[in-house]
Amino acid sequence: MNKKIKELKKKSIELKIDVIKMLDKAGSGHVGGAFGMAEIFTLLYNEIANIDPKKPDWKERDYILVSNGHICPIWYAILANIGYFDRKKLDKLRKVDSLLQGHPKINIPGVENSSGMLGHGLSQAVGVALGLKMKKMKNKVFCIMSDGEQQEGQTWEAAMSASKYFLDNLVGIIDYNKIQIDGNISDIMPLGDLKNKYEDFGWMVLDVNGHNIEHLLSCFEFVNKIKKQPTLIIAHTTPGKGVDFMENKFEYHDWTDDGEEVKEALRQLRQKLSDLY
Amino acid sequence: MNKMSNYFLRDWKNESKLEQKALRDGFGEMILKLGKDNKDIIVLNADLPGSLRVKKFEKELPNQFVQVGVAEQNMAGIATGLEIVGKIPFITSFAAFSPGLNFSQIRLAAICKQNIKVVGSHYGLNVGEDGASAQMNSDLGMMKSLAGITIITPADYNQAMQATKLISEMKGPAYLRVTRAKFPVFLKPDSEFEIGKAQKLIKGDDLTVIATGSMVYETIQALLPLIEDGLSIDLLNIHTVKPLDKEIILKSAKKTNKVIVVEEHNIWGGLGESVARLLGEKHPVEIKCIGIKDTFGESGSHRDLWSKYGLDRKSLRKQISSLIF
Ligand SMILES: Cc1ncc(C[n+]2csc(CCOP(=O)(O)OP(=O)(O)O)c2C)c(N)n1
Repeated sequence: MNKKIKELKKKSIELKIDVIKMLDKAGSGHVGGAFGMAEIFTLLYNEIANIDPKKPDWKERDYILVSNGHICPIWYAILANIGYFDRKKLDKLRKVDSLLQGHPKINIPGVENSSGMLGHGLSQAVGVALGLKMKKMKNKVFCIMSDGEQQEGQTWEAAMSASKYFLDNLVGIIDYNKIQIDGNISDIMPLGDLKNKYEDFGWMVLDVNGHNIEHLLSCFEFVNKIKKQPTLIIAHTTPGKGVDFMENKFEYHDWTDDGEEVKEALRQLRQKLSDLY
Repeated sequence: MNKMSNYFLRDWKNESKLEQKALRDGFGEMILKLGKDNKDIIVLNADLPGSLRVKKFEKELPNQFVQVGVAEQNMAGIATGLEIVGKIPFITSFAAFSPGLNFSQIRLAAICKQNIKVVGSHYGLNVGEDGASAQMNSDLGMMKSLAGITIITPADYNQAMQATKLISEMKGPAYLRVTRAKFPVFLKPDSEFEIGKAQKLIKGDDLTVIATGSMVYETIQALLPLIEDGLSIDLLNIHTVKPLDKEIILKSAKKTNKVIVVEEHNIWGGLGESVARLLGEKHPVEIKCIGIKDTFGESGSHRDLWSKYGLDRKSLRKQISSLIF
């Protein structure tokens, strides 16, 4: 493992530790999807996107939107980690008068879109990407989505419009973790061949292991070469990744901890972290 | 003087002696019972069967259950189709998404008086930590504007059971709102309950207090010390927001000439507005609408939010007192 990749890996585990502590204090929150996307959030904010945490309103910045806003603990953790706001704010997640709401709102520094209604984010991202094109700006737009919200019709309305307007400044990323609230996607409402579907809707589609940092890096590099069409990265992920009792269990879509699980989760994550040193 | 009705369970005044149950559990239990007796009852759900308490229904009556995934518009559309072939569909999700996200589909069904039932759970600030996007405080306003729809917002678990049964028996579109939070069970399970007929819980002369849904028991607790101090009130439980029981409201207002309405909904579009319009047209009196003051909610615990937004018993008592003393 080269040094850069090791550092990114470490950072993604540190974020998960932050998330466990946040949810412990909050008493509830979403963990499964958050953990599956830790590497991707780490990469986007540290390597890929053109951003400046000191200037959240900078005109030249790339836009990162999250459609499946329930996974916000990991989003808040990285935003605090790179300095969009004070880390102390993480302690008040989900509490009255807190900046950090159970579902993200655009008044939070670094948060580009409000969410909590699944299936809506890709439309918002199309709006941002289209607006940037109208203004002849070169910024990129990243839109993180979940697999569950591929069941919403609006996602496909958005997908259609993205290719109609040749939005090559738009990159969709699906957290394909195969779970949703009540079970496995394949039981609740099968998605069929996502890759084919998006290709039929005019997208360039890439499949990647969402935990493999090298592959993700080359994937994002490739995206820059795509012209005249939007790109989708289907990230195959393991929900709850890094804590054995959470992995691949839809029951950990969200989590109300009992104290014992917090301890064990932290132990496992700290172990993984020290293995990297 | 105050006369207590016989709607109440014996220990109704003593909250610590009452069971605490979520209204959604009342729906879940009754719909299972009804489904067993009537094969035409179909429950549809959009990846929230646990939240709507229909997991048991899914397990025991799999042939009467449709899981559409995260797709509320599709759910409402399928329901109207099922109704065409004679089924009695209940569409179930968070109120924020159904009717919040599929209002047009429901509206079209309502235009033709189709027999579909919408069950929206997690209304109000009492949803808590998930925050504003999940806390639905606009549903009464939206649904109330649909001609001919029936809207029921029960006051406790027992009433949620009764309401579920009644809307399954009536013809035409209906909307039932239930809560995630637990509230005291204070009404008798077999108390008289008729759609469109309000319940006079307490009878008095000086002031009319109207409450609905999650606010009924909190309002009772707000009122009890005032009653002990000699205040004489008419307390109405308006479980049916539409059609509104105009008669009982007018009669009471004519007697007291002072009306307070309490609800966990935006004061714009809520029950208070319906009552104010009625009284404005027929018998103008002093009226105060207590609810969420045209703002959105936020994350926090149920109780913290209620006190911040003035819906806990202490704030209610203060607001009521300021009107009468
Ligand atoms: C429109 C809408 N319907 C329902 C919900 C409730 N909800 C929140 S998360 C979720 C499950 C979605 O599955 P997915 O996003 O794939 O979950 P994850 O992989 O993060 O566990 C549902 C149904 C919602 N937020 N928005």
